[in-house]
Amino acid sequence: MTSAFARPALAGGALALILLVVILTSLMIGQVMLSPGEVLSGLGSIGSGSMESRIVVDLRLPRVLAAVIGGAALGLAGLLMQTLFRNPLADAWSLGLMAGGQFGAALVIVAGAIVGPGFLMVLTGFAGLGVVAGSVMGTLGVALAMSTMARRVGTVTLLVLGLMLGFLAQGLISVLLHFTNRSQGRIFVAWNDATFANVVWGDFVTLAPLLAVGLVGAVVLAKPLTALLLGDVYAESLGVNVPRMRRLVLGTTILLAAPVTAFCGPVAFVGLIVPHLARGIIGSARIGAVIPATALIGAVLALAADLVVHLPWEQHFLHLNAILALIGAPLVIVLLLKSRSLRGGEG
Amino acid sequence: MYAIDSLQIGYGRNVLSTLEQVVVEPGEFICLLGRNGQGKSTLLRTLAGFIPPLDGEVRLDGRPVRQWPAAERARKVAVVLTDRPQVGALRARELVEMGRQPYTNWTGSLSHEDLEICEGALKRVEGQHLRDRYVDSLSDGERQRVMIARALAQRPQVMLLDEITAFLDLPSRVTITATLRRIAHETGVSVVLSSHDLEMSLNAADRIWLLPGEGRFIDGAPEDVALSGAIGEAFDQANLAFSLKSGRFETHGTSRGAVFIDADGPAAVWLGRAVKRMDFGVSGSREGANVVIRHSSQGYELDGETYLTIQSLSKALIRRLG
Amino acid sequence: MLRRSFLLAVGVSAVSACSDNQVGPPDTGGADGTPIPLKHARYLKLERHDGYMVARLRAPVADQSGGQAQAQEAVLVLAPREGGEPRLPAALRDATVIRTPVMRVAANASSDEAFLGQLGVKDRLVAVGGRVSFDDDVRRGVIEGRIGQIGYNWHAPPNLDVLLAAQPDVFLMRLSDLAHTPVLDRARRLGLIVAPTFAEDEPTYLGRAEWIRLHGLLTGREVEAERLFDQIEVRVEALRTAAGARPAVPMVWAYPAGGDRWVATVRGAEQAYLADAGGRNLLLRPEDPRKWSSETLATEQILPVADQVQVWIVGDLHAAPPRSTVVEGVSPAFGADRLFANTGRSNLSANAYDWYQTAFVRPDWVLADFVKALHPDLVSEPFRFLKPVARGAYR
Repeated sequence: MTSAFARPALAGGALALILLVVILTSLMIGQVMLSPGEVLSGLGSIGSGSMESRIVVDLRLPRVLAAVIGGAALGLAGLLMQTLFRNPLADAWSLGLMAGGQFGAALVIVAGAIVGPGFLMVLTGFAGLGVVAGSVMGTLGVALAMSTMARRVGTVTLLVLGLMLGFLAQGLISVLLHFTNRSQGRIFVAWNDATFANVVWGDFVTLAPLLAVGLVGAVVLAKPLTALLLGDVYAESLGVNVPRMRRLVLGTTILLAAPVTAFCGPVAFVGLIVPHLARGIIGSARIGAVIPATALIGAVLALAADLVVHLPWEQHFLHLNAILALIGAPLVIVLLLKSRSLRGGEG
Repeated sequence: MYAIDSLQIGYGRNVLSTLEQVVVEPGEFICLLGRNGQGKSTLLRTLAGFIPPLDGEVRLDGRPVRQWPAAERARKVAVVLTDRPQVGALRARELVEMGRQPYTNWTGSLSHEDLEICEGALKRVEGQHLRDRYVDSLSDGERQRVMIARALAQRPQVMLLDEITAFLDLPSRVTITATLRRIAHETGVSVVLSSHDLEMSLNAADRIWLLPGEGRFIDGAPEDVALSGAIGEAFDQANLAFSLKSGRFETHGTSRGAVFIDADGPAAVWLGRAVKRMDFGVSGSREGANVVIRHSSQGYELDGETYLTIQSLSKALIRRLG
Repeated sequence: MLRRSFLLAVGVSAVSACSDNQVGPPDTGGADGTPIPLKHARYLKLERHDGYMVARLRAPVADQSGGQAQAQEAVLVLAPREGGEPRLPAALRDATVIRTPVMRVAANASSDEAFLGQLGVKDRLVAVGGRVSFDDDVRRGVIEGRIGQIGYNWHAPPNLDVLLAAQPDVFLMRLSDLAHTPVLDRARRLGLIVAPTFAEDEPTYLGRAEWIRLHGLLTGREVEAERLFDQIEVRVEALRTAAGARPAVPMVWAYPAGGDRWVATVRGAEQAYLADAGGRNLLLRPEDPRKWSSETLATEQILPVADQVQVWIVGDLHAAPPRSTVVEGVSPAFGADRLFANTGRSNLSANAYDWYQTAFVRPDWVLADFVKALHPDLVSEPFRFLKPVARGAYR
């Protein structure tokens, strides 16, 4: 019994340590370099108005926290989707759920613009509850569509379908923009550029509870999801109510992915590659064993990419998704080539 | 245990088969035979409760199988299927441990007893040495054994196996069939195995279920089923027939001549097979035969010539009888 | 924010040579031309010859590649309609001949529309790039079909069909990249007379405005052009002197662009406005003709200077309101409401922005606005291109 837990426990501990180091580094490094002491004094002197506290508490800490819990949530969402769809390339981004969420939120914003004069207020209250609700609806729509299609098509085909849905959503959004004032299109363009830097302290009131529920959901669903690794029929034979579980898993995925999309834009690759890394490190596909590692690696990856963006470059020219693509796309390519099932032209 | 009552299985309005009164006893090893499309998989799915019967009932411990809550049913019925699921990084013991899911709490954590049951299950399929290996790295035969162990870990009353030997090589098939038979007899689990391997099923099963087509269902000891001619009816084809005498399928040839075999023991049996294979008949007496083949310590003798192998003998025989 | 156009030598050589002759180093003046001195424009040279004018246009390729590229030049001969064909020396044989004054003008750059507008000849426009002119008459003309529409400003290659149908006497073409050169060749082969324009690429704001002399020559309004430009120059000088007498006001011209990004003006002609208006740009960076005048910075790069910023040009057409209010919290500019946007002359519903048109032509108006923003008492006329914005508004 001990050996079964030793590796996950060790890995979990190591990952938690790495996460702490990356968090501290992110708080220290930036256009203004701070020593650990300055970071601590900044944390300690909240509201004092000192430069350290402004930088650490007002600028960096929300961004870092958003990256940590956003990355963890996206990683878990990816794990749920890969198991539910039995598709190693599934995640909220690759299957177009994020694009759907953006479209939903865009609809809410455009509707607000047409309906009310407080357009700018809606925008600056940018990730208000209405927009999150729009994002959830959009994500749900695409998730249901994907869920129906998943039974009928193969792995890679589903991925292509998801990417196409993503393009479709982008196209629809750009058409939507035409009906707003085209100058306002700038705001959507900015939003499409995924970033954790748009999250302010007030947002965590909405973000944290939703993601907490999602995390609890993932933990509770770990056992039936493990049964699902063998397929619907075996899962049913082990006593799992498969249709109900599918709904619960889909719902949990949306609770994890939609708020992150609403507040941070379409963050790519995290959900796709993190479960693979976690499985590799833990050495097991058992969902219960993999959940902690998935959350931790997701947090580390998102935060590390964000850190690269915020290194003291001369210009602030890097984009989060570009860095994530540099890491993620080669990994996906390796995955495709190494996996017999994916390579064998399946689907 | 299963009590089947006027069960009609099928899809939509298509009744594949009707089973009148059938009872499955503990510890029975039942082989389910039938040609493709006659309803073997449908019957197993109906028995497992995956699909509803068109009419009638399958009762499990007195209650229709579909009315049992899923978790409780999982403690009574376990299935093993043909296909090999892509499980990624699962170890064999983790796969077997999944069989305990119907008994564990929401976290799925295993008690000491659970782990012992899993060990025991692996032992029964002679798979203890596989426990730490990744499932994807196992051979087909090993994987099926692990899947059987998983089903065993469910501690079911009944195990339903749907053509699990379809992709296995002969030694694996023999091993698994023997294992299943042993499991049935030693643990008291009823095992229903659907199979295409007619001969092995006839040899190993305590009971044969046959779906010959036209909605019929034959149930009996292998020998009863064979002697009733049902097997021939179900499987015979223009050039292939089930021989009651030999217990296997033999080609109908037009006989090119009769041969008398002067030999004992295995040589006699195999010479007979060779002769029939070449579309000759075996004569019961020297007088009724066109040729005589004698087997001695030097080899096979035909028309004064001695041949060391049946292969060389065959060539001579064909030359002789045309 | 201005874009630098990336002009290709090939494009210019195609302009200056109808056939595929190679282009050599710039012709030094031609035998009998007297140069008209231009004080600020670097890419334009004007010469008076006997019976015609010569304009030499140079692409800023050399600047962009650090001075290594061969200078490429386009030569225009502006010959009056009365009088016959000008007798051209060998050096000018390959030049583009334009009979002046031109009465029908096509232009795909919106600044060229403004040049003509300031000279009072906007009614000569027969084709423009897009339906987003700030000038209501021009825009209406396009929408009603009286003025042809030949593309999306200069961001798209011009629509040759419409161009031909408009039968212009000259097509003022802003070249942006190689994709347009084949179009230019085709345009010439179809008989169109094309004059490239590089006004917007001049590194100084007076250099840009000085191109009005060329527009004046083309349209027969050279006197008005010269007068207008002198007026502009005088006003600019007066403003500079007045502002220079005051202590510099610490300021910043940076608008938020989503997330924690800010687009800040750090060098170039735009920065020159700030300096000449008496501002001390706290985000100033070294001059470099190869780089754009603005750079994308992170909030953390703005924050250290934010608490000294007294005046902030924070609004722009392209601004996306930031969610974090850290910067606002520390900056005196926000506290004292000394915030401005460059969207003063904008028609939002028509997507029309004069900042990209007349601002090139009237740097005196632009500078007056900046001086008024920094030293309100020095300028009495109302704002034109800049406008004060309330805290929380970015456009």
